[in-house]
Amino acid sequence: MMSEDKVSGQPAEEKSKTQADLDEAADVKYLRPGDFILFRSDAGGLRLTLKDDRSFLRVKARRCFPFSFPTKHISLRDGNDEEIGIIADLADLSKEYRRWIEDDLNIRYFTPRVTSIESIRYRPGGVEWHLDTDRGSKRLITKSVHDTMSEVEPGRYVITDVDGNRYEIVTQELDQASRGLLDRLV
Amino acid sequence: MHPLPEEVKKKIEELSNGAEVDLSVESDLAPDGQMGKQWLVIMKHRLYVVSSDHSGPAMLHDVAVKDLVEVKAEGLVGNGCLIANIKGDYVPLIRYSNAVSKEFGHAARRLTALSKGEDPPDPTEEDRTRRCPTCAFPLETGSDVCPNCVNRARAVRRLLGYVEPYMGATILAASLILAAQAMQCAPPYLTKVLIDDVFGKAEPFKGDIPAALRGDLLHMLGLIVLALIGANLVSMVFGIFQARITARIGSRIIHDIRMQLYSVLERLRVAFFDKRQTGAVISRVSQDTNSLQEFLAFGVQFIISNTLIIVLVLIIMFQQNWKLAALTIIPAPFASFAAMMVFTRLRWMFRRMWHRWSKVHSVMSDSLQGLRVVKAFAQEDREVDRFGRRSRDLYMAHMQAERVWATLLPILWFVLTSGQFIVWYAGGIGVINADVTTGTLIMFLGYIAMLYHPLQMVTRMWDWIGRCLASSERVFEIIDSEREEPDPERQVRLPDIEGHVKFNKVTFGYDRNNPVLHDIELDVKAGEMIGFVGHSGAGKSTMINLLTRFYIAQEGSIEIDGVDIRNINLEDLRTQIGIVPQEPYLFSGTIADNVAYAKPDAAPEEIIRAAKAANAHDFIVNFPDGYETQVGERGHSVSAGERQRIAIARAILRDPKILILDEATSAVDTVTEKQIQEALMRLVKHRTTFAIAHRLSTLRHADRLLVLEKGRRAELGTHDELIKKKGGTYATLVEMQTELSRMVGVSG
Repeated sequence: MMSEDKVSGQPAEEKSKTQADLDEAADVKYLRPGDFILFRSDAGGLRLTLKDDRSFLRVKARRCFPFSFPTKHISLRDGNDEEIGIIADLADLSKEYRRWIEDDLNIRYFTPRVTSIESIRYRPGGVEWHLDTDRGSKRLITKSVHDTMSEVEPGRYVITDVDGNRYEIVTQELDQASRGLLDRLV
Repeated sequence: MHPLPEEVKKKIEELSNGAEVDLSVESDLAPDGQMGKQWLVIMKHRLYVVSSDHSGPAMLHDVAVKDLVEVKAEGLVGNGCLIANIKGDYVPLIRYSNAVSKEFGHAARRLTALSKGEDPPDPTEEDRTRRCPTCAFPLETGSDVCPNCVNRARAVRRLLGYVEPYMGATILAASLILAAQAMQCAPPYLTKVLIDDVFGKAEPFKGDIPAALRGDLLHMLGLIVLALIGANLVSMVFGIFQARITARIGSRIIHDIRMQLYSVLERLRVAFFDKRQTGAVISRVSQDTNSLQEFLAFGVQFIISNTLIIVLVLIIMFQQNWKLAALTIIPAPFASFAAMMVFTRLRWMFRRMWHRWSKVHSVMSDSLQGLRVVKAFAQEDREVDRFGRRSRDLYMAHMQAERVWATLLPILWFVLTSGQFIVWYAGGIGVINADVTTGTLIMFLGYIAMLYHPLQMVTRMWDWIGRCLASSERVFEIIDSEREEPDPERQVRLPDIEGHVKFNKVTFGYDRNNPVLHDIELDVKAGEMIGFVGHSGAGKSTMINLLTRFYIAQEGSIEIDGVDIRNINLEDLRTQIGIVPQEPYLFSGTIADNVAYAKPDAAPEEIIRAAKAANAHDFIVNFPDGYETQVGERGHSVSAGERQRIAIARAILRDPKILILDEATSAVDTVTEKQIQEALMRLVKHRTTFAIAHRLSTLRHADRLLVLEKGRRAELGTHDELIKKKGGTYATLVEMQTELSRMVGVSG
C-alpha cells in the first residue's frame, strides 16, 4: 500500500511500463489446444510452434504436481528451460499430442509403482528389498528407513534407493502380506 | 563393464561390416520403460542403440557420429536419458536407471569429443559405479570396503587392535573374571556338602546327638559358612577390581577412537560434508563411539564372564552326575530358538517405534522452530493436529511393542527355566531311590539357576555384537575416508606467495556429469583485484571453492606463482589466503578471540588495529564488555553488518597474500555498506583480490571484471571497457541494476 502511494508521485507512463512488465512476468500463460502445433521427428525429437509466433526446436514437459495431478498442469519448456506455457489438462488435447507429451513425461518421471513386496531385510549398512513393480521385479538396496522413505501423503510413500532411483508405494494397492511387511517397517 | 551378448554383437558386426567397437554400455531399462536391457554401442564413426527381446535384437537408433552436435546425459527423475542433438533435432537415444548414470555420463562425454574430432577422454575411477562383487551394494569412490558385507572377523580384529596397547591390563582383567567366576561356582557345591555331610548326618539322631559328633558337625558347619562367606567375598573383591580395570580400558580406548575420529573429521574434504548432514556426522561421533564404549567396556566382559560361567557350571554338573546334567540341558536348544524368535520380533517393533519417534520429533522441531510463522498465519490447530497424528502412530507402535514384550518375555522365561522341573522330577526319583543325595539335587538346582541368566544373554549377544560391529563400521568408514591432503611431505612448500594466479582451461562440476565451470582461462597479476560478475548459478562461488582448494578441478589447472595448486602444501596455501565469506561464522568466545582466530597469539594492539581498519572498533568499544563481549551461540547478538566487519578484521589480522571477498556486503544497509566498503578498500591494497558482489557498484574498484555466464567466461575487462560493449552481458546487468535501484529508490 505504502509503496503504491509513493509510486503515484512518478510520471504516469513510467509507472505503467514497469507495472506492465511485472504483470507480464507474473502472468501464467496457458496453452489452449488451438494455440500451438506440435511436431515429432522420426527419431523422436519434439518441436513446437506457437500459432502466429515463434517455434521451439526442443520441448520438454514437466509436471507441476507429479503426485496429485499427473496429467494436469503440464508445463512445456524450451531448450533453455524457459516456460513456453502450461497445458491445463492433457485430456483437452488431440490423442496424438497427448501421447507425444505423455511419452516425454514417462521418460522424465520414472517411478515404478510397487505392486507387492516380497521381502524386506535389514542388512548392515542398509535395507534390502525385493519388490514387484508395474515395470518388472527388482531387488534394491536403500539406506536406513528413515533416510529412504518419504510419506508424500498418508498411505503413500516414495522410496529412494542408494542409486537415486525412486519407487512409489500406495498402501491401498498392496496385498495383505505386503502390507504386513510394510507395517512392520514403519 | 558388461560384455555385449553374442546375438547383439553379431547384429552390430553385420551392420557395421565388422568395425571395431569403441565403447558399449548396457542400460538396465528396456525402451518401453520396463526393467530390461538395451545397449548403446559406440564406434568411431557410428553409434547404435540396440534392444533385445524374444524375436532377437532390434536396432532402435543408428546415427552417424559426424551428425551429432552434442550429446548430453540428462539426469531426470529416477532415471536418466542420453539426449542427442542430431543436426538440430533433440532425440532421446537411450534411457537408463540411475544405477548406471555414471557410465552413460562418460559415454556422453566420449561421444561429444568424438563428434568434434577430439581425442575421447579415458574413463576414470569416477566414471564407473563400483559395486561390491558379492552383494552389489555401491561402493564409494576410493573405498573398497562394502558396508554390507564387511568382513566381520576383520572388523573385530581391527577393534581389538585398539585394545593392544592395554594388553597387560586386559589379561589381568580376564584372569580376575575367571577367578571370580570360579568362586561363584563354589556356593552350590558347599551347599551340597552342608546338606549331605552335615545336616544328613545330624538328622537320623532327631536332636539326640552324641556330643563328639555334634562338636564335629558344628565345627564343619562353621567352616562351610566361613567358606561361603569367603567365596562370595573373594568373588566380590575380584569383581570390583576387574570392573574398575575394564572401565578404565574401555573409556580410554573410546577416547582414543573418538580423538582419532575427530582429528580425521577436521581433515576431510569439504565434499564429504556436502553429502552428509552435519547432524548425522555429529551423531556418528557421539552415538557410535558410545555404543562402542558400551560394548568394549561392558559387553566384552559380559560375554567372557557369561560364557565362562556356562562352561564351568556344565563341567561341574556333568562331573557330579552326568545323567541328571544331560536331562537338564534338554530344553536349552528350544529356549535359545525361542529367544531368537522373540528378540527378532522385538527388534522390528523397537525399530519401528524409533522410526515413529523420530517423526514425532521432526514435527515438533519443525513447528516450534517456525512458531512465528505458525502464529502469524493462525495455524496452531493444524499443527496440533499434525502432531496428534504422529503421536497417535507412535502410541500404537509403542503399545504393540510393549504388549509383545509383556507377553513373550514371561513365556520365554518359562521355557528357559523349564529345565528345573526336569531336575525336580528326575532328581526327585533319584533321591527316592537313593541314587542321588538330597544335597546333589539342591546343588543342581543352584547351578541351573546360575545358567538362566547367561543363557538368556547368549541369545542377545549376537544382537549386541552385530550392533557394535555396525557402529565400528560407520566409525571406521570415516576414519578411512579420503583426507584432503594425504601426503603433505611431498607437496611444494610456498611460504611466501607473491599472488600471481592463473586459471588454465579449468573445467569443474560438483557432479562430474554436470560441469558448472567450462574452460575458464584467467591470468591475474600479483596485487590485482578481480571482480566476478554473473547471475546466480553462473559459477562465481565455484571459482572461489577451487581457489581455496575446497574442491579440485577435474580438467585444467590453477597455478599460484607458477605452481599447480594441487601440489602446494595445503597449510602454506590456506595460511596465505584470507576469506571474508558471505555469511561469516563467529565461534563461541569473545570478539577478540574471533578477530584473532587465525593468529591466536596476536597482541591486543594488533587486534584493535585490525578492528579499526575494518571499521569495527567503534561499535565494539560501545558494547558493555568491549572486545571481551561473548558472541556465537548463546552470546551477545551481533547484527549482520557487525559480524561482517568482525570477519573483515579477522582477515586483516591474518594479512593474507590472496584475499577472497564473497558477497561481503550483501546483507547490510547502505550506510553500513559504505563503512564496510571503506574497510575493504584498506584490505585490498597490495593483495591479489577476488571479489564477488551482487551489487555491481561494489566492484567499481576492481582492476578487471570476469563476467561468467552459465559457467563460461563471457567477458573480461575493466569496468569502462565492458560498459561500452552494447548488448554485452555486463552492460545489460549494469543497466538492469540501475533500473532496479531506481525502482527500489522509488518505492522505498
